Amino acid sequence: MKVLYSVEMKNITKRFSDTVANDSVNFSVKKGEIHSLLGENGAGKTTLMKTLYGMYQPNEGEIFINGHKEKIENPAKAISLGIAMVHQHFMLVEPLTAAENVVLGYEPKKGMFFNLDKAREEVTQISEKYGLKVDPLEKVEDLPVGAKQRLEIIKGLYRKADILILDEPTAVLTPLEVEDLFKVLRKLKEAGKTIILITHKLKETMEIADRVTVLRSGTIVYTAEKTETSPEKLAEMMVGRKVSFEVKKNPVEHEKKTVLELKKACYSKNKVKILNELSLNIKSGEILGLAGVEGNGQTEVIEALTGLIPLEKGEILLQGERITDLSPIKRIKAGIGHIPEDRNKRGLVEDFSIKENLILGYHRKSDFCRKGILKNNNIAKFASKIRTQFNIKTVDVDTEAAALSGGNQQKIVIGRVLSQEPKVIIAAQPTRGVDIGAIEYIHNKLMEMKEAGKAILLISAELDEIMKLSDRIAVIYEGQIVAEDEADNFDEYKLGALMTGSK
Amino acid sequence: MKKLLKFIYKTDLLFSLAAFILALLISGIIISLSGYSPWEAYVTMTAGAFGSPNAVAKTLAKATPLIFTGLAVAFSFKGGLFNIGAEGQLYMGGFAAALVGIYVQGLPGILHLFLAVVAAGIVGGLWSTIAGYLKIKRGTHEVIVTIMLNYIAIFLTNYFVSYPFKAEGMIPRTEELPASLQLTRLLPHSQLTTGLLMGIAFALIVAWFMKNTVYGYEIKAMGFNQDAAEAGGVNLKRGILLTMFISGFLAAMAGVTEVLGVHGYFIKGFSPGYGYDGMAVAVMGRNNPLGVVVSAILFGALRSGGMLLDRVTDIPGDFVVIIQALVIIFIATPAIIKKVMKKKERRQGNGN
Amino acid sequence: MKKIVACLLCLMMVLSLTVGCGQKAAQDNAEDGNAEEATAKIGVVLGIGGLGDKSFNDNGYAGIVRAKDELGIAFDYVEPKDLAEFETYHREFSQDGQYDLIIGLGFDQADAIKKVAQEFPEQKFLLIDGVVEAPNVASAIFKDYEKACLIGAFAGQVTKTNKVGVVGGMDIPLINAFVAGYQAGAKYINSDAEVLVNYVGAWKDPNTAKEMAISMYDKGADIVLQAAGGSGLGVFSAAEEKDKYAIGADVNQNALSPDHIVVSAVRRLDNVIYDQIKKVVDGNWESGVFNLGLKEEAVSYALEDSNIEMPQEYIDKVEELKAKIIAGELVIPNKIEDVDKFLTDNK
Ligand SMILES: Nc1ncnc2c1ncn2[C@@H]1O[C@H](COP(=O)(O)OP(=O)(O)OP(=O)(O)O)[C@@H](O)[C@H]1O
Ligand SMILES: [Mg+2]
Repeated sequence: MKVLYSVEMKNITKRFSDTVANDSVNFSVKKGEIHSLLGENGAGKTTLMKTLYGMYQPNEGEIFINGHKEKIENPAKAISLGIAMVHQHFMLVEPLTAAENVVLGYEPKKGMFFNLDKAREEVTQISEKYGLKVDPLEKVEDLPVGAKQRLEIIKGLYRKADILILDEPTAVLTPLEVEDLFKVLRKLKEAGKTIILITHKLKETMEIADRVTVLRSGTIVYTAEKTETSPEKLAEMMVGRKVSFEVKKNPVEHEKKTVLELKKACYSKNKVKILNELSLNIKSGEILGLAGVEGNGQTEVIEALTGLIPLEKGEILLQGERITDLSPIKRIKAGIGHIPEDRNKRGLVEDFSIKENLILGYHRKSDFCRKGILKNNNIAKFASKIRTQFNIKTVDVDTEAAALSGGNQQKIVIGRVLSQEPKVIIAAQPTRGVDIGAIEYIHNKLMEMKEAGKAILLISAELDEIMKLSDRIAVIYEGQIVAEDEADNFDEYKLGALMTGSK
Repeated sequence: MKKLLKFIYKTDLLFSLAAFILALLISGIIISLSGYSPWEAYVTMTAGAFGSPNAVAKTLAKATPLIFTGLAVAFSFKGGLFNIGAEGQLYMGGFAAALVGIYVQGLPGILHLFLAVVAAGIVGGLWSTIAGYLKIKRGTHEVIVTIMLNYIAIFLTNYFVSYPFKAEGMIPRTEELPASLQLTRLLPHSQLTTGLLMGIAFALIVAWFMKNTVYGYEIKAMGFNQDAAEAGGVNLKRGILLTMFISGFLAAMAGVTEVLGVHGYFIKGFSPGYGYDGMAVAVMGRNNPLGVVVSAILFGALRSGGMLLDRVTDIPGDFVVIIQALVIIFIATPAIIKKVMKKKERRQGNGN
Repeated sequence: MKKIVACLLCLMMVLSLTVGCGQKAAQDNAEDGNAEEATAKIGVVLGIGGLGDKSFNDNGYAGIVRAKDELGIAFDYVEPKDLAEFETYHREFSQDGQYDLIIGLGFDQADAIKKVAQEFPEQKFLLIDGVVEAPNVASAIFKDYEKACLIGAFAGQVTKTNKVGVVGGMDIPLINAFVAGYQAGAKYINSDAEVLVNYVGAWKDPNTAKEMAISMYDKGADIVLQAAGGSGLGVFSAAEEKDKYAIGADVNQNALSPDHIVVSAVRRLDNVIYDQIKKVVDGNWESGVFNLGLKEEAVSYALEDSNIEMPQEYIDKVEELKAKIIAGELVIPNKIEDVDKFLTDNK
């Protein structure tokens, strides 16, 4: 019997001025399957999907939808062909309600007027059918990330999509939300929808996908049924060599000394206590993992330590010296390295070149400037060095950071801090949106740093990551540390319980 | 050559040029709908702007203050601030220059000139810094404060020049400045002075400053992404003050070249809105210092062309204002949309 | 992309149409200009406020139009928006080299004319209402205090409250001369009259002028003179609002508010300008300072167009006064500080 393909992309080549993002790619998706698209950062996944969705025009190649050759000039055309795409940065209009967002551009009308009731009804219908919980009358700006994502999916379904593209949907979700999402995806599959899922997490691929395709440097290197492959095989295909998932936790021999100390920190926002007499000890030669559900004060811990918010009460000591009132730049200079949790907000200046981003925070160092004049030659040399060292994929270091793939942007942030020999590293979500090759690299780097005697605070939404890397784990819940112990004394269940406040 | 093309491409100058031409086309339609001949209008304007050495001189003379106010606005944009107060700053600066010129005596010419220029810059800079100061202390938006400061500056200098510092005669103006202080005219009988060269020099300095100094780097970082700049150790408060000061300093230079160059004294109402036009110039120049010079000259041409239009035809020279407004709309609207979209993306987390 | 191309095509079409018309218009214009053999070419730099001020500029412009109609001259004019533009415009006209006379309306053009006249010694200039002493400049000034005195005499007779007001444009000698004449006339005729004085500080700010007039009416004045150029229109709306009397200035403004304006002091800029242009056409133009008053019919008053009947006895008294001034029997003060002396001298 002839297999029915929902999507066939044949010989697709897409070039950006100097980069070939997709190189004669042949990619096909069977009707009714969940197809996982894997690949390193910058492999061309997003580009390929944007091409399918009509946001980019391929330089070469053709696209068949349900067996018919189609020219997809723009997203509107894609939508009319039943294709929907959920971007990682959502395309929602913040001040409008959920229902209004869903019907935007395809509004139900009563005579000449917008029919709000009808809109709400339809949204509720879809949301009940697939278990996509969203309050249709809530304003989008008030919705949490998970709900925004569900809303994007509803939007696609409202427009009668049969083919759903999800670009790294899980990167912003908590483990619980991921489970919910997968339930929805299974229901959609039952309903006969075709789903393309981009992710960096092989665990997720193995859990939900029917088939897998791996992209590397813009070409397809592997396609297989899920049942016929393994995470190890996939990782090898993505990176082009064997990848070890294990990090060796070498306990550090020499004595551990407290380097950075947070003492009884209090902070409130809009009269709500966010940090409540919170204390932390970060020691040399040790990774302290801070586990917790997002929104329990992690962000404020990071910002307090780096000097971005003032404490109401409490103290911060660096090697015994009080730094509570030092400005951010002085703390950076004193050796506190910061990998911000939100790279697009705090981590990167997207309109800056890679080169300029790589010195941000260290731009006043004598290596980079003398008497207020930048040493542009030194900076360029330094940037090229970091680029090779951290394998940042780009044409040159003068490219704007905005043109890089997400993972490569993260490498800039990491490379910047790690190259400056800080005493303490505050690593918040260091591997968010980063491919497994890079994850491995970053993890190894962090271990290396630890072995070199640095003190590291690791904040991550990924329990796996925390468990794998940390020597000690502290659990944060509602602005307090509710448990702190050697990592070996925790397991996933115990952590989960502590994080959600049940003992 | 390739480098030049790349520069034009990178700075979107082509886009600006397209917007300019589009604005001319649409104004043409408006002119003809108003019952005049666009052909006659544009022929006359071109003649008025470039038709003779005198016309070119006039265009460049009109462009001179616009270079400075354009630079001032562009500079504040770079730092993510919006200095609408160039008009007030140039009055304050111009007045300071006039006072130093008239009342400081016994200095050798060059030193005297230098002092007048620096005093003007500092006064204009401090005037604009008030808005920066209120922003960091009270969180008031610099747009509002700079606008209000415009009124204060204009009325204050009006008062000064109408009463305490008024020269003999019927007109609210100061004494004539000593000849040693007046900028040299590049063409006899024209209003084109060495102020133009000063403007170009300042544009080069600003470009160099942005590219090669830590301060320029920090200001740009702040302008593109305040949060990231803050995390990167940029002192936002100092950055805001510095940006506003330099921006005001640049705007004040427009007052200097008018007072020391065109008029030779401070006269009430000497700026027909150069400060406001600076915004259009900056937008069209894409906030790029050299782009600002080019667009200032284009706007100067519009002005001098408009004057001939006024003089020899029935077509009101005010059509020039329509052209300017259209240019801003065509350039600014897409730019603003782009910016808003970008901000939104940023807020909504990681791109990938 | 296609859309853009389509749009551009549309634009091109529309434009080609308009350009078509345009060329025709240009030709029309050329025909206009076929009055090429104009007897003289005049450049006019109007005062700030421009045409439509129903006052200074409109009055001057009337003289030029009359010269065009009767003497066959051609002229170009500009309407500067700010003081600082005067010099630029005079320079432009001069550089052009084809203007037989450049007229500047308003004392505030004196500096500009002085500077430019020096640089272009061959160019003839006429300054209205100000003085520049240069071999190529004629300056026409007005004995405004003479007409102000007549107006004051009207006001002094019309008032029932013995309080009259004047709203001046700016606190400058020119306006103060006017105020002085007004005071002298009012008190000369009516020794009980009190004169309220205030200045707007701007020539194009009717709102402030209105506020000032209202406050004068509130203080008991029942007739107010405007001496504030474009701002003066505010005085009339105040008079309408309060239903009191007002007096116009510069040109006959009676028609603006015929139920409230009783009389207007008028300058005949048109006469002066026409005379000067005529001299240019006739070839006997001279530079110098010309001080023009009642005698030269450069200033006067106007009662026409007002709905308020002026009693004949009032008019007779004013005419009597006028005759004395022309005859030189009375010398009207042009400084406020000289008013008292004038009154004691002429009891
Ligand atoms: N708009 C663009 N302009 C120039 N180059 C681009 C643009 N978008 C992507 N690229 C380049 O194309 C390549 C592929 O990028 P793409 O975003 O498709 O990667 P990705 O596989 O989605 O990576 P990630 O997992 O990091 O999101 C990268 O080298 C990137 O720098
Ligand atoms: Mg991607």
